[in-house]
Amino acid sequence: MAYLSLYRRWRSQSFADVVGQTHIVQTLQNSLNSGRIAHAYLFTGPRGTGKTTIARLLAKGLNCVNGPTADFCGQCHECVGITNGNSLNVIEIDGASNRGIDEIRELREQVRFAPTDGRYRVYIIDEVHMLTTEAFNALLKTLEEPPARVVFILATTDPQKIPATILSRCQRYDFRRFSTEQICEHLRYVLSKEGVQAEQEALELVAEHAQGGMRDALGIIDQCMAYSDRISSQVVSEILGVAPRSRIVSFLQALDKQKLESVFKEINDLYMEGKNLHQFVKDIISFLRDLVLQTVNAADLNLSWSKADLVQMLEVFSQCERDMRYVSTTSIPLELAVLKLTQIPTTMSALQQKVNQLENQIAELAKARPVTAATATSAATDTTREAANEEPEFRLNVTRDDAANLKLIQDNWHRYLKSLHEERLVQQEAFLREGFPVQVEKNVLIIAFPKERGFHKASIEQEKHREPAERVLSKMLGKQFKIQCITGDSEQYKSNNPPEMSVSEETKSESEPEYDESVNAALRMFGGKIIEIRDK
Amino acid sequence: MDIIQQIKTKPLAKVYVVHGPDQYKQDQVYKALYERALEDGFGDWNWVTIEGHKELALSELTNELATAPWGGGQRIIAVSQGDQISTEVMNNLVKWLKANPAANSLALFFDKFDQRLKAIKELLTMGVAIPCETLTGEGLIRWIQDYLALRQKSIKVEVAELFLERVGNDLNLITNELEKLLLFIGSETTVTEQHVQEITSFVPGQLEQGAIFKMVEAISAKDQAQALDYLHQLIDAGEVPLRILPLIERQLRLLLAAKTRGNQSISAVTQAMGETSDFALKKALRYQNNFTLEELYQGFADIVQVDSELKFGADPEQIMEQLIIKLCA
Repeated sequence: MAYLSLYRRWRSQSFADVVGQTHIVQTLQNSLNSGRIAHAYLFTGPRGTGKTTIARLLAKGLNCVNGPTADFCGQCHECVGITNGNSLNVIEIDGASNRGIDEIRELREQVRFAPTDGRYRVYIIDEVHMLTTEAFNALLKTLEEPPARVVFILATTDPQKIPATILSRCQRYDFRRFSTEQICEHLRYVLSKEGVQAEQEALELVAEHAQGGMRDALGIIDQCMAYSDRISSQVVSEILGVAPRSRIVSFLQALDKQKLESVFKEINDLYMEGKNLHQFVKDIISFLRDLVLQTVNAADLNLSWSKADLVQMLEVFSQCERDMRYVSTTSIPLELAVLKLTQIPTTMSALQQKVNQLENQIAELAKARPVTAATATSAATDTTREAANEEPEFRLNVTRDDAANLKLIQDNWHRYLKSLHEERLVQQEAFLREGFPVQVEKNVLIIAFPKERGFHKASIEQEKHREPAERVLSKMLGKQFKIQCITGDSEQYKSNNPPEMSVSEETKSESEPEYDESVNAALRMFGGKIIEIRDK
Repeated sequence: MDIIQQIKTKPLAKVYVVHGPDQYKQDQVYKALYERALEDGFGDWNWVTIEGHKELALSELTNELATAPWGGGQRIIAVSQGDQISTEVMNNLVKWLKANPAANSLALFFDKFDQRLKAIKELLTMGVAIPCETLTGEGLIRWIQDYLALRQKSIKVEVAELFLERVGNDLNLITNELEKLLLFIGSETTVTEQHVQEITSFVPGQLEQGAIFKMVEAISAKDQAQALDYLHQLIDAGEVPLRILPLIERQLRLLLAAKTRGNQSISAVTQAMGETSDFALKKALRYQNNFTLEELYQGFADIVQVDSELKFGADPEQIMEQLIIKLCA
């Protein structure tokens, strides 16, 4: 007898045998037992998820001599005929090779005839999405007014290609991919029946590569059985041309420990063994993805990477995978990826470490020079604080010595103006930018404005402008300070040669000639120089 | 529908004008008329179907309308795609019907219907108009509850809403899915959320609306597993990544707007963004603290990169997965 492949030999022959798809099995069983049969079904889902198998089981349930029933006998001539593929009442059509309107017209002619000796004539149209538009339209006519005792089962992997008019005439069932556990369990069952031993890791490797499809999984096992009596991960990896998971783990462990020699040796070994390095990188990506999603625990595998590191590694290996498509020597992009991840400290943890180190150094500096280094400390830590959304803590420590205080304020005058800007006191900043602190008398700061900046001086003297400026100044100095303004040349003060003038005299400055009050007001407001005064 | 009862029990009208987008309701009328035609016990001898088309001649209709019924019953001529029949034939048909009051019953089915046409106006005065409008909102939920009540089952409003989120408002699809749901629950009397999630399919269009928005919301919540789950649902259903990407980008823009709007009102921001409603931005406000500005800017850069790589043939599933992993990291 000719060899029958595993997936055909172990195709489920009853609803009880079906692996997974419980939502579908339960519904169809209830449908058969209650006799509420739809005239058209649409089975959709990825390949190898049981669409054709369940379609045949449904056909058996409908046509079994005891039927319609979910517990069909499997022994009657109808059940046997369906199992053997020679029942006259179950017609399987490959939609991919019978996709034209002529084939569907022929089908329409056939459906008019009653079933021979079964209850229902069942048409299973596989890959139905391959039908042409005209063929779909012809089929729609039949689906709209189906003859009694005819059931259509349409199967497809691409439901989105089915016209809405067809979809709305069918009862749709969505088949799901099998989980790795479901595939492993079924493979174990099949292999135990076949009397073949298998390693758990081998079965997991098969399940991963089957991508949720049972047919593919059994196909791989079939090949492995032809290759060896015992199915080990070594055998599966050789059949698939991929590295077993243990090698991926040891590769990543070596990478984590920065053992470059071992990493490069492994790449070379894989290359020399004829393993597909492109597939190896894809497997690494898949493994890293599992680590990110925590379906695999990194700590259990002695891997020290943080989640951010893993995301970055995913990026590097993905780039490597893309590069591999365009090169003839696939080991080069992989080696470059390894170098990128090990030679340059670009991993997120390494960067974080550096940042922490710098922050600690800055903090130590600040502790060492609390007063004089205030500005530097403040500026240096600004970035960190802003990032943490904190208020800037710029503060100067004033003493009882007015001269020292003046020096401190003069040194930090720009910082004060910046503080005004940060407080959105831009007008005050603009006015004060034209002045210069020239004297401190207890808690009064005297600011000199050049003669031609009378407008700025007059403006800052207004209470609405002066008070906010004083508030920021007091905050900076940690003590209540008032501002008073005078007209004078700041250069004189800078050269420690202040003019003889007391604060109380400032309002009637001696340098100011005796002009008309309105002229003085204009001068204060706009600044400038008097050239001529004309009476009107 | 009362009209179904009328068709079943009352004398047939001379003309039925069945119109509206709801195919399910049209099918119900069609089925009721067909069953009425079979009542006389002469099989389908008194039932004639004609498909409307541009070249349909008046004689094809009038010959059938003038043919005497079998066994003394009433003949029904059902004409599908009435909107395809030429205006001239339609006008002449009206004239003919006026001149022949003893003719058989005519049922005209229209997908598109223009009540302003003279012939249609006159047809409506001669017979019965049966509008088949699409049900929406509460009406649709009530319809589902009534449908299940006939089978001694119940469903809560929120579960019915979840069901409609997946199925849409096509009554044909709804009945198919309800039948499947009824089979699935078997002897249980209440349809639960779990039942709906387990067995109800997403119909095309509904999947995009449902899963895409849930996916971007999961990204905003940085729920990696959930976002990836929706991504796989979308890709399995044949959704193209290049169509998913702009929606992720829109979500990042909404998050950015939520973070940087300052004192601006929500409606002013949505208007400036060209959004049609405040809903999406209001939702984004809830998640704004999940992302720093740097993360959002990096996200935009990543989207541009993914866009380019998709166009250069990268594996769409893998690259979209990685984008989501990065955004949710």
